[in-house]
Amino acid sequence: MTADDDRDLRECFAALRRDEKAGAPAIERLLARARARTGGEAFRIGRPALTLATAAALLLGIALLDLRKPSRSLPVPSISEWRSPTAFLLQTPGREVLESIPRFGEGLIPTESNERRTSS
Amino acid sequence: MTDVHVHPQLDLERLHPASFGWALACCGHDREEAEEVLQEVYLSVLDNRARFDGRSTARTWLFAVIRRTAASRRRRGWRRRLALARWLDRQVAPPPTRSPESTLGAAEAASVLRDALARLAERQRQVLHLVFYQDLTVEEAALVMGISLGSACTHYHRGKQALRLYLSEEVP
Repeated sequence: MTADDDRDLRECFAALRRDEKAGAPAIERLLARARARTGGEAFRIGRPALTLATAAALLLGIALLDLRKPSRSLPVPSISEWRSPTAFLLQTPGREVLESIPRFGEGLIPTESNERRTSS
Repeated sequence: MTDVHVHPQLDLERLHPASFGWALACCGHDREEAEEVLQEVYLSVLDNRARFDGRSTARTWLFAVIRRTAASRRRRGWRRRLALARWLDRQVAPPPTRSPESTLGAAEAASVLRDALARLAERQRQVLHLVFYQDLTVEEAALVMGISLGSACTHYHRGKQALRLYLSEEVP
């Protein structure tokens, strides 16, 4: 097989080469765009770090200011006034039955007939 | 003028038109994607992330880097993510400028060939591009593509047959 056998293909590819060569972008433009993009990427990578550092500095500043303030002492509650926050759990249903003395002729649980009898 | 001479034998500026043609072939003639690939390649060369050691020819080495970069970008799926951004850019970007030498006939022939090439298998398309467009030998094409000479020869012969068939179908 000689080179001439492929002459048709070579001519086709030569036309393609001419066409693409004419439309090739300038190398300087490609490089400038690439440089700009990598610069932008570096900025994008650097930006969150900068934001975090600023936030940390702000928090540190606030903490330092808070430490410098004179501490305001809260009033100490009296032991006699103190109520346990779980005291309500001791208020069980039917507690009045356990705390009262039963009488003959009266029901332990207040009902309408019992109340009428008591009032009469 | 940008300094693009990172190695005495590697003249990126001189190789640029051929590199762009090869990048287009590796990206299915997607111009935007080819430009992205070239940008990435040039940056990696200029930043010394890709180093030419002079063991092969500068063109063979650069073409292999372009092929690997294009394949890597395809795998990463950047094309999909950038598709919308590119579409938006295209709405405001001016159309590519053509030199006066570019005739309608050549453009038509190029378009017919592009359509026919698009129907070939990737390796057939690449080996034919390297041999007929870039004037490399089949052996050099095999080096660029990272395949054996035997495999490259197979792709070359089958590709030529298929391309002739498709071209005959394309031309009325």
